[in-house]
Amino acid sequence: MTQAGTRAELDDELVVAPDTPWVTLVWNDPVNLMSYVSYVFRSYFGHPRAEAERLMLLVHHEGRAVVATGVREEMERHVEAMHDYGLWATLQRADA
Amino acid sequence: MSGARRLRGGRIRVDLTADERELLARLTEQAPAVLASGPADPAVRRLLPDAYRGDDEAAEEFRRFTQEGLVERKLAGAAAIGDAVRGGTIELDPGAALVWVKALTDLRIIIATRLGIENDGEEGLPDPALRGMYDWLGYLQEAVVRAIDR
Repeated sequence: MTQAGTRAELDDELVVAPDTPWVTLVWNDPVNLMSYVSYVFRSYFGHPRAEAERLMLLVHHEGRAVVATGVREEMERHVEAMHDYGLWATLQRADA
Repeated sequence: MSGARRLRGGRIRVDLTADERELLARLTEQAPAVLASGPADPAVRRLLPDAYRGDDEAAEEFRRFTQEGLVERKLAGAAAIGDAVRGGTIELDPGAALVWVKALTDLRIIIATRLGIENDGEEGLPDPALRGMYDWLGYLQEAVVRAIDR
């Protein structure tokens, strides 16, 4: 069973669906304080404290972490924001 | 004792000694020269890193659209600290406190690259004066983050 989507939903699908998702990566660096990185993940992405800490530790121990997934333009905005905060961030296709 | 604390009403009070104010004034004054020095300077490469790894064209395109704004905001942040430390009592609203922690990060990044610190736990070049500044900036940044974030 299915139902017809509204016009807006259909348009969204047309625009978004063919696009492979992109990800924003934050890379470990020797400068940024763990408390600051966790604060950035909470204040910018709105993550709850536990999730922000988990991502921060992932960056610290694994060298990088995916902190956001979505369309390319949105990931570019996130990367620019991370550079504003002084974090080392990049974006790439999710399947790269 | 220098440090930062949250006042009732949410403003952040930053207490600094005269020497510390002088140090921050001198460091923030140098930000424009560093940011103007271009990608040959490792500090600039770290402050404005490639947004795309292994895709120079996309990284260049990203720079074209973002670099001017990023540099402008980083310079404005450094200038805001410089102005504040040349003034009287420092009390920051939440927006100003955010500008401070970002600008303190930029200063720490610049000093870390001058010290040659590239990996976690590295001491870098034996330059006690620079190292002392680096550690103190970390202490101050931590204090401001804690005051914002408690």
